[in-house]
Amino acid sequence: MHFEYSAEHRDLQSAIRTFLDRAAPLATIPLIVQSDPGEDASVWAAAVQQLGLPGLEVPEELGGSGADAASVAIAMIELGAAMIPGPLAPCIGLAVPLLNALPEGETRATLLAGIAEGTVVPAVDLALFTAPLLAPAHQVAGGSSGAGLTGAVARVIGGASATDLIVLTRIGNEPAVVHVRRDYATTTALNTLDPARREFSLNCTDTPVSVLARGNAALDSLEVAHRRALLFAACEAVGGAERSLEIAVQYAKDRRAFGKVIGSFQALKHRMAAQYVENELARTMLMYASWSTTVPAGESDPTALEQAKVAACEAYLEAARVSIGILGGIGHTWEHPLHLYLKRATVVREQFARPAELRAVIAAAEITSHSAATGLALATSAATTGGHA
Amino acid sequence: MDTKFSPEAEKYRLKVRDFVRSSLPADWKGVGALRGEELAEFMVEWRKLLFENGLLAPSWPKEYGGGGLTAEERVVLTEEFAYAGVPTGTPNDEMSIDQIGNTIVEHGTEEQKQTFLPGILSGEYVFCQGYSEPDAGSDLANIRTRAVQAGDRWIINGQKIWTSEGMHANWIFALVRTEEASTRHRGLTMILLPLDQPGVEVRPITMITGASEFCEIFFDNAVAERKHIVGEVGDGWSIAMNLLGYERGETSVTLPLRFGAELVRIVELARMQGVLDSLAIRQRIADLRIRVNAMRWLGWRRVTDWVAGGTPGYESSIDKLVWSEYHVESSRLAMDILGTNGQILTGALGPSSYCDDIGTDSSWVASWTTSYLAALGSVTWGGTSDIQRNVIAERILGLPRE
Repeated sequence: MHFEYSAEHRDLQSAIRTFLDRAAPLATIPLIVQSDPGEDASVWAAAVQQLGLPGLEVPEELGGSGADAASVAIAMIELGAAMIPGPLAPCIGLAVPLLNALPEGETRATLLAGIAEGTVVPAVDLALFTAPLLAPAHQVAGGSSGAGLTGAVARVIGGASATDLIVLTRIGNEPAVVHVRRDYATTTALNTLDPARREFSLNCTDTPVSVLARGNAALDSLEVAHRRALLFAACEAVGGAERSLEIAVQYAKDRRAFGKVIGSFQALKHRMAAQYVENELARTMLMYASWSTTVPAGESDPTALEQAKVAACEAYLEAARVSIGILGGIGHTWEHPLHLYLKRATVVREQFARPAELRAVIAAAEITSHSAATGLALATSAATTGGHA
Repeated sequence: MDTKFSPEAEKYRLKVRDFVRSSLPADWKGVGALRGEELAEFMVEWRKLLFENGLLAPSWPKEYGGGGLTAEERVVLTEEFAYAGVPTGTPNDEMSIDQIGNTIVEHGTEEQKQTFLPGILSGEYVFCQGYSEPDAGSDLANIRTRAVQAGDRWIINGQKIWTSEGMHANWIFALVRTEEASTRHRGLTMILLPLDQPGVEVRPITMITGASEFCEIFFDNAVAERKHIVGEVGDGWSIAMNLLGYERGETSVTLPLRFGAELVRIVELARMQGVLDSLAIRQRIADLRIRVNAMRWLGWRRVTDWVAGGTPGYESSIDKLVWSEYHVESSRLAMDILGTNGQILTGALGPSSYCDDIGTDSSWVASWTTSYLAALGSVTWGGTSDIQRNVIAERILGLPRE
């Protein structure tokens, strides 16, 4: 039994954390967020050069490191904790997993290789990762070569640096995943609740696209993409929950009021202790969910990702609230980065699937798994027993 | 990451399964299905079986009649017993075998080991814990029960309270104040004494559930032998705290299994009550499942630590806080599902102090109401939730004391 991070994972975590502390320390984040581009392009460049971070999960034959989802999870947690604005997190958390899941082809290979090189900065349509999958109003017409996309794409995660967009659209009645070059499209920056994750809308009139997948092939890829998005959200949430609480605990050790260090007051102490526990449980759920991506289907709890996303996002929102409360007035200002964690927590909780929907899926799976109809159903469930027969 | 146990431990698991299978009737549902006389008889027979097969004291060294099992094997043993719905001993065995037994193994004199260890296993000595007093619960250091030396004996006066299963015990390990003017943690001693003597009165307390699993114990010139002091005179506090670290059956690993089984029964209850289609109920079921899994997988992290040679530390405060608060939530859901049907107590009370066992009939209302009332108690005994949060805040987060 070794249900803990491996030495390799801990080394990866350490390398990324050290890099981020140097390349984008927390104190600089509010300035970056408020700047015109809303990101620091040198962080992307350094991440490419020093860690090969964007290409972490890109296959080796395309110039990446060929890492697995569990390793990417480590990186996503650290990026979430550090609140790094810009394309890094959505690249490794959303774009690359989606591209990896798409059918092989020239465009896909070019994009993945470009990401590993750092020359392609992807921006992804939020609709690609969201359940339930909804048929968009916009569509591609004119056949699959020289095809043109017409219509408005509501939300694409990306900012000034994005070079290549991946969009969910229709070809007739079939879903399709297409690539659009940024310089072919008219983008309009959106005013987002989460200032550290920029989005834009896309307005297309017969805009040239490359079709990456359509029909059932598209649906299969999107199923994988959605599940990876759940993992992405859970990772950001665990990282953000732990970091925001850490900020509050440190503050509570330094700040004095009524002649005492405020961390000695039981009310505050208990709030932080309770949150620490929630964070630990969320981290544990994520460890399992992450591990579950490395074993064949059927050898782990089938709703592990849903459970981790729910637990982690609840913990994140509460952690951000608690932490702002501990910091008092200053926590509610742009003088301190904590508000970014609250906004991210608010946003990520709803993204990719509504929490109520995820709970409904979890409950349905729970109820179905009881078909053995006795308490001893436990002994037959490999899911909660770590694979014992 | 590896979620499986070692090949040796898995081999041992198969041995345990064979033992369980061959020892139980073919239609065995779990100890939760037994009540009253049937349950009492089963407990006597089962304990004898465990004794005969060297399975009563898995953590004791073999030389004292223990199983001499590795950390992994001990977890495997308690897991298999949890799956099968059989206990690892009687309620008193938690005190006799795990608490004072392990303490004697580690700190006892040779004579104490020879006197008590075989007798604990055979059932000749049945212990209960004498810690809390009316003025010393959360603030245990405030204890006042006095022991005064008289030659080879110590004369004890005072009172203990919240003594689990005191009425089923014949001996007690008591934390007493041996140094006259001492206060707080200083001047305390751990001493063993028989309950069956003129100076000791055991009075069961009727609890909110209607059961009387806790007792008051009055010492009126009760007599203890000097040779039955565990550790040194004045060492009592550290012995007492150390003792609390000897956990029963790796509960953080196996308790989630029992709660998982309880969740299966809650779903069954919802089905019987015709509310399983309720979206609100399903949302709560999902949250409970998440919590059970979180406890289970957190337990795996604990096992990982033990297997690597770590010893339980302050993280046990997290585990206790989580499972006790969990049970308040899960038992509350059961009551919500029952509605007014939860007001007429049909079926039988649960015997267990954690939650009712595998095999309990989901339709036994009294079992659900007992769990609901007992769960509130579990948030208080074993260190209140507020105390646990203090420990987490101060010892883990490093926040300053008040």
